[in-house]
Amino acid sequence: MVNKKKVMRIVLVILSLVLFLTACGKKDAEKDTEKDTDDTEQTDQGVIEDDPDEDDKVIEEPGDPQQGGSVIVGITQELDSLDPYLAAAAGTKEVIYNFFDGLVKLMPDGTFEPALAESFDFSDDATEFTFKIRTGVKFHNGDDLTLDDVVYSLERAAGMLPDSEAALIPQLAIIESVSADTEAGTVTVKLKESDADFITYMTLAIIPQDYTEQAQKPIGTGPFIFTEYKTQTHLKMKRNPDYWRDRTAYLDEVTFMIVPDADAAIMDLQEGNFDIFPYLTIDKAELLKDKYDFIAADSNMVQIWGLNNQRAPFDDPVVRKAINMAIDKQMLIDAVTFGEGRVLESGMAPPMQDYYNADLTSPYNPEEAKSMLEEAGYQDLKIEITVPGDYVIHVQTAEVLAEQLKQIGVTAEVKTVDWGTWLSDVYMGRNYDSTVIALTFDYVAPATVLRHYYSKSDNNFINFVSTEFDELYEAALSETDHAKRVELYHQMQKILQDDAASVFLQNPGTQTAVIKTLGGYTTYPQYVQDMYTVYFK
Amino acid sequence: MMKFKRKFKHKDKNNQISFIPDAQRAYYRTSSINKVAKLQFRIGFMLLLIPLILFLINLLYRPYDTTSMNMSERFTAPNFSHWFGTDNYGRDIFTRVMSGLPLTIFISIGINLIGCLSGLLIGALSGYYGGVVDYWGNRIGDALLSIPAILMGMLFVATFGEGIWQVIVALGIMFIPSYMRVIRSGFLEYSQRNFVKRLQLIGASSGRIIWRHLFPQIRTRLMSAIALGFANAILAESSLSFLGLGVPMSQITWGRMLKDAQGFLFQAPWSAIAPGLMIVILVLGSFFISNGLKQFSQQRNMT
Amino acid sequence: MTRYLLKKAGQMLITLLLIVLIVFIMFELIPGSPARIMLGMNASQEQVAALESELGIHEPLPLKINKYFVGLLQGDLGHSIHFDKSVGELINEAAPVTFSLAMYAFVLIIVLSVPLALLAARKQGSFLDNSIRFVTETTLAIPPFFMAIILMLIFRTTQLGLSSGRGNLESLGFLRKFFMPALAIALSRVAMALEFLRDAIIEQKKLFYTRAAVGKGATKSRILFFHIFRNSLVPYVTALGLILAEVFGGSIIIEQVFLLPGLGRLLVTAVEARDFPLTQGIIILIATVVIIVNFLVDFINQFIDPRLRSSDMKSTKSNFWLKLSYKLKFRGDVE
Repeated sequence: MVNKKKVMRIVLVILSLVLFLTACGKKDAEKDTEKDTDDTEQTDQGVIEDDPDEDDKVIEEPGDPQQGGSVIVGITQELDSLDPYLAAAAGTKEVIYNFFDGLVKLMPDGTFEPALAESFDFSDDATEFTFKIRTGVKFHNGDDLTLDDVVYSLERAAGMLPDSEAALIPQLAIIESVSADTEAGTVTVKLKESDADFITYMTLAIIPQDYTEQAQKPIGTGPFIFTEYKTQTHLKMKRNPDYWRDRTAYLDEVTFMIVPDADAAIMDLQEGNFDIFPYLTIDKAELLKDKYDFIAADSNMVQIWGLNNQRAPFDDPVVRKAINMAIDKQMLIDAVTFGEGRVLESGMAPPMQDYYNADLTSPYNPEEAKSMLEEAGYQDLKIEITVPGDYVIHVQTAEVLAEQLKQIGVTAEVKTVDWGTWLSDVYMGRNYDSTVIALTFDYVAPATVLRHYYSKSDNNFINFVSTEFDELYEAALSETDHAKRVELYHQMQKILQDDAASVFLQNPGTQTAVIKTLGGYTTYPQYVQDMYTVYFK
Repeated sequence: MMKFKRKFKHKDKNNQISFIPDAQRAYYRTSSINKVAKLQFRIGFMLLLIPLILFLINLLYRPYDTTSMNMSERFTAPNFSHWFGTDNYGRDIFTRVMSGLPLTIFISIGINLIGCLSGLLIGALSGYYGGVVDYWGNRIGDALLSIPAILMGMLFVATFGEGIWQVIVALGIMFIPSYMRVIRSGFLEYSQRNFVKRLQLIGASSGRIIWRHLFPQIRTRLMSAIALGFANAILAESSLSFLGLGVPMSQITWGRMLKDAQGFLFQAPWSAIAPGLMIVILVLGSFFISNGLKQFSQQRNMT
Repeated sequence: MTRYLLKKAGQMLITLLLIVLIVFIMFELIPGSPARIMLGMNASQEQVAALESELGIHEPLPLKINKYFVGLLQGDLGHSIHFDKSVGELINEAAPVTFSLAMYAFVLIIVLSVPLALLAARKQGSFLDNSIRFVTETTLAIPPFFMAIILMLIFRTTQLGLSSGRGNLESLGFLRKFFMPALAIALSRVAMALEFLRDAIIEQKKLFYTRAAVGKGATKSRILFFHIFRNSLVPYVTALGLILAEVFGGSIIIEQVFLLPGLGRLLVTAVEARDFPLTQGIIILIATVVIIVNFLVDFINQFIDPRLRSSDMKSTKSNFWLKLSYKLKFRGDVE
């Protein structure tokens, strides 16, 4: 039986090899975390010594901003083009935000402050805007910001360059001409028609003239400089030491790690592998509260159950109203976003500040909804809800809606399609019964928010037609008096509710996990991850 | 006239030289293989008994409604009233797992019906006749097998929309090459045997040879392939559902349940384990039965 | 031999050509415009139309196919619509991840299957044999995504710290980061590799020379290693080759679950974005690898192993292929 022993010995050797491999992994894990903490400590101290000229006051009290350090931000979307005018994904825009400045900057409270423009002015009919451009601003490549760069940026975005076919930013298609006055240091923009929201679009990134590699290596004037991008993996940026504001960013380096599924990243979060992770649902907070602070982020997302107003049975306002009454929105919010959402009554969300009409309420009354349907002669109504399957929140919403509709005897079939198909069949082709989708907006402009219900718009995918609404919408565009505009937008929202254009569901709230050693994370009523304000405590 | 075009490339299998003395051969065949095959059959049937019982319970009685939501009971851990716990809407997972069974089986049978029948036709033709049919059949089969099936599923669902029939057709097509190969190699093997040559000499028609003489030879082998195909179809369908493709939302599938559970993996691990286990049991049962059949066919082969 | 190689090369080219055509046809039928997906919901119709004409989406199919093949012959896989980068560059970035994941899984398969097969083959039909086979057979029945979920739950409760996160592609960081995904891929294939080796060893044991060696007075372990194991390696290596091709394809769904930036995830993104050049490029790469591995296996069978060259063994070979098609091709269907 000597042989048996030999075999066993060899088997043991191999098995111990396997164990060794596993053990290696474990040891390495411990080493790594040690190294990580070392790193941050070193850089913290290192920067304070290295750059005494950066910040005169070296703050050493805990809790106050410290200069230096590097953070890892988890983002949940693949990046598309890095060119600020070609990037379409909200996930890309919120990252490249850090490379650029606009003529104006959106503040956390929804107001606008001059940025690359020192000041701005506009004519009473909102057709002519004049910006005084700041001097002494440098692009990341070392060139000075000139008036020509501003003119080029606006013209490129508006599709006015000789080789362009359409406006890259559709809202800017109304620009008629852009001219520079070198003596006064101003740039004047003339519009084809009046647009009181125009100033909100001027958060547009200003880029250097005739630089052709924006899509691969973006260059702007922003607080961070692009260093590296690896597809599907990460995007790295470093601090811009020549930033034009009174201080540079606190952080030395920021890495955006791409993890397309927040749920799958939960293990990494539990080990503290990310410093900042936006768009988590509140139920995750319980699992992660030891390591992270949770900051509720406002979103200007309007989640609606879009009803195709041209298609039976939704062409009948009675059906739309009855369905509106049958939906328990609070229960939906509890089920889908774990209570982190605000009930909406119309097509605008609270982050739109005073434009949002907060006076609207709607009753939840399934009994009456049922009798309304019966009176109108609808029995055993069968409808289809088409949802983009890539978005878990919409799929779950549709599932809950279908369940709630059972109470009033309506059978809803949930159909998922992929995003590309949704865009072409539902959004553009308008070939659907109903759909659940969130409308988001690149600019905090009330007109872009309500554009989806303007009957002459490409984006009116629910086929809503109301001449009254259209008139108000057109009036609001040319109205420059703030109070009157607010009134017009309130009326529009009232019409949307009265006509039951669709079922307006919720303004979903999301949570950003910020590791406890970080401070200064700021949220905006727009999708941005502003790293300028973030610091180590 | 086709039958004269066939090439007799390979030597008769019966001429093969064996190193194993006959007595020993017989010993291996009867005792060991038979025993293992029987054991595998037994385990397979025992495993399949579990879903069968669940299927019968499901027909007669469902403890809870499969869709109605109860937020106060969300993420309940397994207990006496909810055997497998509840999911993120407070729905009973036991009931849902149980009611997902018939659809899974239906889809799996559909896929294999398409795969097997088409595979049988193409495989028999190319295995028996060879030549052009064989060549192009193999090339298309190679091409289909070289494309990741998940991708074909994605493309198919994106093109033709979701639906049970779409899933059956898409995966059915992807299953054809596998069946084709199994059947083709079987036909290739037997069509060179002496008895086929003799049949051809006495003027039996090709159709008759294929159906009456060759097909019975590979029947056990085919049945083993079907049992395996059944298991693989379940895996394929649940993979697609796991990616959120194919079967509509309103139907309960285990793959979809797993996908939904993944979002709450650490809050409610039970909601992932129950549907996953069901897939494993069903697949494993089919595997064992397939293995048992395979051993019988090997045994048959040797004689 | 040259003739054989030429014939095989021709077959491989035709298979590739068919794959390219299948993808072309699928993309003609599939709804959704890449321009609209790229520009998003808020874009205007004119913008979309302008981008579409720039991308040449509405050109007739023959023209598109012609253009593509001209590019392909010059070694140009085209330009990705979604990422605004050349396809070659994107594949260069993603392929190392997939390849190293596949290799890692492959090594795990060997490390696990060899000792287990040796143990199992010691006594055919013994309790040890049956239980090893039962356990590995069970792992074969676990779909990879469920395996991933189980592994995640296990490693989370044991706090081994095997998550991805900050770990990079550097030496040990790589071993750690890829351990779970590689294991998820490997576990279900161990059963296949094991069975081939076990069967081969048992087959060898029965052969005459083994008993001759026993008669000569060689020790059991010497026989096992110097005669049986060595001779069993040919079918085992052949099986491993095919498993390798399959592991390569199998990493697609695992990359999806573990969020690894490899070809699989790139492919899914490409299809979702209707990014035709990128999809086509990745499929060509994956298919080429699979086809070449298949060819090499065939080649080994035909020319390297002298026993398989003799016509007597041809039917053994066909049996072997049959077994493979049972074990692998059916499995290969899905993952």
